[in-house]
Amino acid sequence: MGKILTIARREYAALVATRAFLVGLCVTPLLLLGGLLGPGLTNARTQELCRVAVVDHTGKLTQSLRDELRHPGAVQDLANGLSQLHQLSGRDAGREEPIPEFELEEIPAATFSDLQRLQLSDRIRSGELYGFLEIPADLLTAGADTDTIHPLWVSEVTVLAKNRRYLSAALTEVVRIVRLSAHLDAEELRFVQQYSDLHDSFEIRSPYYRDAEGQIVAGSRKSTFSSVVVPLVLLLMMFLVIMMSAQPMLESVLEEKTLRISEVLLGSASARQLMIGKLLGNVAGSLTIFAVYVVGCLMLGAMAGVPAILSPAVLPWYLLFQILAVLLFSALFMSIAAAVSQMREAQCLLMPVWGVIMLPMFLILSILEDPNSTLATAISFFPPSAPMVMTMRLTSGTPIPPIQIAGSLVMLLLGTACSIIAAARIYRGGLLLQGRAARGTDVLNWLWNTDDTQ
Amino acid sequence: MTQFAIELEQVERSFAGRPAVRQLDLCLPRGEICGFIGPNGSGKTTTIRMILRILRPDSGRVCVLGSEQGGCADDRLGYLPEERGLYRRMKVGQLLRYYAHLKSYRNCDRDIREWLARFDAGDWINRRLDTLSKGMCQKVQFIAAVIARPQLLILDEPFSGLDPVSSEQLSEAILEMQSRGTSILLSTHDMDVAERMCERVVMIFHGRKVLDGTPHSIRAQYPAREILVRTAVQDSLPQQIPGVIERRSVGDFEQLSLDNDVAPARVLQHIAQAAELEHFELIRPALQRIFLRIVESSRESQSAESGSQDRKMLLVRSPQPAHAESPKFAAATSHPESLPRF
Repeated sequence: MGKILTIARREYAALVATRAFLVGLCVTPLLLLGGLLGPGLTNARTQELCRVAVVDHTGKLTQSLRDELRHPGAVQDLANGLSQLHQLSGRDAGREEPIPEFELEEIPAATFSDLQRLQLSDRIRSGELYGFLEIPADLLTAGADTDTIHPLWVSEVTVLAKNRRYLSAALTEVVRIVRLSAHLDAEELRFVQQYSDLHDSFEIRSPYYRDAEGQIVAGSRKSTFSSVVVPLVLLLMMFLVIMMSAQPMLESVLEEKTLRISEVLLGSASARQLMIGKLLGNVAGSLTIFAVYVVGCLMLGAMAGVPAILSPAVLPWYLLFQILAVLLFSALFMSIAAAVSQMREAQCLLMPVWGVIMLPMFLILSILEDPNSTLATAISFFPPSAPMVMTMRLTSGTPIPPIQIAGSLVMLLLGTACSIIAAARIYRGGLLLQGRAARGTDVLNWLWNTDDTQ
Repeated sequence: MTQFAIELEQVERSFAGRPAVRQLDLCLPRGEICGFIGPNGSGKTTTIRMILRILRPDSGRVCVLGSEQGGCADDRLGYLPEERGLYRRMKVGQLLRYYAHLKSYRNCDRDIREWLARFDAGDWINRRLDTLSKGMCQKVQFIAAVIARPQLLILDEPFSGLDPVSSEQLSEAILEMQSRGTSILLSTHDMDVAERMCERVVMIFHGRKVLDGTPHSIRAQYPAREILVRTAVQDSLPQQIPGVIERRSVGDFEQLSLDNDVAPARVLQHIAQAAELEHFELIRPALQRIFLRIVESSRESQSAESGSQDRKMLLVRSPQPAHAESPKFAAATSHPESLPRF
């Protein structure tokens, strides 16, 4: 045990007590923050006056459109929607979407021709105009089954340009109100307008229940922060911890192998002691990273008045899943390093492993939409993705059946144990292989042979 | 307590069906320095790994410091590998402390300071290893091998990369370790070192032991087949001397190579009759020469054997074992006295 602890201490020091680690620890969150704040800052700089020419063949909509763009209703809805979308994607949380300023230039429609279209296009190309909008004459009269009404938008910006979406949202709202006002009185029209906003005013709660004294108690209130932001932050934190502890493990084993340090070490400790010591050191390092980030998040949260991201009930689960994830992936990275002779070879083998690690990231929205869906449940039982998926599910606020938590944990434990046993055999055999990468037959031989070396 | 630090009996080890060590017997008496020599790929590293318990033999007995128990590293062993086994980003003091702790030797700080001072490296303790030269690293590596006061020390090319002064320092340190009772297995390609420092020399080739004895006894097995003569009058040696197969000038001397079945005394008698002798010296073959001859002879006999087997295969179209031993080589290995004379 003394040797294992000696090795673990060195591994821990090699992981943590380096300038690179400290820089990584500080720079990674800064990069993420940069990712969050960068687009906002860029957007703030690019909010310019948006000059648009409008050719209104109905003759009734330009002024209403101008009013809608100046006194936003639908435009504000779109801005709110974009803010929520950004929050969902983990970006720009809490930031209000700035609404662009439009200046509409009315072009007489009666004499509008291709020549004027060309002239307007030239002004777009010269940068004088952002674009021009041509509203068809029958937009206010066409029936519901008509699919040929297409306002024309000419611009050099992309289809997804935000300003174009504001413009179309405003036009849609204007057309809707103008057409509804022909059939509804003012009071009913106001109700219809407000009804469209109800989805934002929902109060979302967990189901009611009886407390210990038999009183009926309303379930806890759910918010975007608790249901979306917290799982995302924890997922990201687990990913960072895995990345910052598994990758150094690979480099450490590769260094020991290529510099023949492993030969000296094997003369002093068994391969098993070496491997356990290294894994323990790595787990200790990962817990340090976790502690730094959690304390950092708590401090930032306290300063910003945001509730704690980790509740005491979830913390033990999170830690358990994180430790198992670090063990599983460190063992995997260790075996890869033992089986190759150069970093380049290791990187080829790492690609599928990174794919597996990233899998929960690709499925974030599916899991958060329904944490108990078949997909989310199924990948909870897949050991490499279980830690991150279960972390998201457990912190989403949706009750997870205990049998699924237990099942996921059992599968993860089994997966981690198998991974460590297999890695131990590959590590033992691969450490002494010099000058070339292991072949498939070598690896199979090491996995099969249980009693070849120490 | 057994009198041997290392006892290998009929040890065999193969990798993927290819034998690396075959029927190897090796004994290192306690407190002795044994030179372990052999060309690259002859099985030295595999043997050392078996002694270190890194590998297990397929068959045979490996007993190290009286213990036959495999499966665990032995803290009583110190090992200096041929290539650097150092963490480049660690500081010298940290690394030596780590290696000592791995050998369960805790109170090592004083020893570290003493060893570093001995190698004029007292101020290296806080230097990172990647700032040291190859020779400096070699010294640190040596200290790492001996820091836990091992009973058995295995040194693989310890003098590699060292300047003459450092080599001398290291030689003295090795001899001092021996004087303290440490048994030392010294793997080297430098025959001068083996001859100078080792009480015993073992040579393996293609996984088999082909030479085992003291440098003196080994040289004695190979009688002098060369003589060095100088006559009072230059160029007075007869052109034809019976039994001399080759002659060349070395300064004022003539070096004569003798036929295998000719006694030097007969040549002396013949020369003395023809010229006035000032100097007559029998030249014993150096270990280096013996080493080279054994390797060359074994390779020749192996290639001859494989050629003969190829011919046989062509004639009878029956498979032969690829590693079949040459009868000549097998005889040479079993009976050192029947090794080629020179």
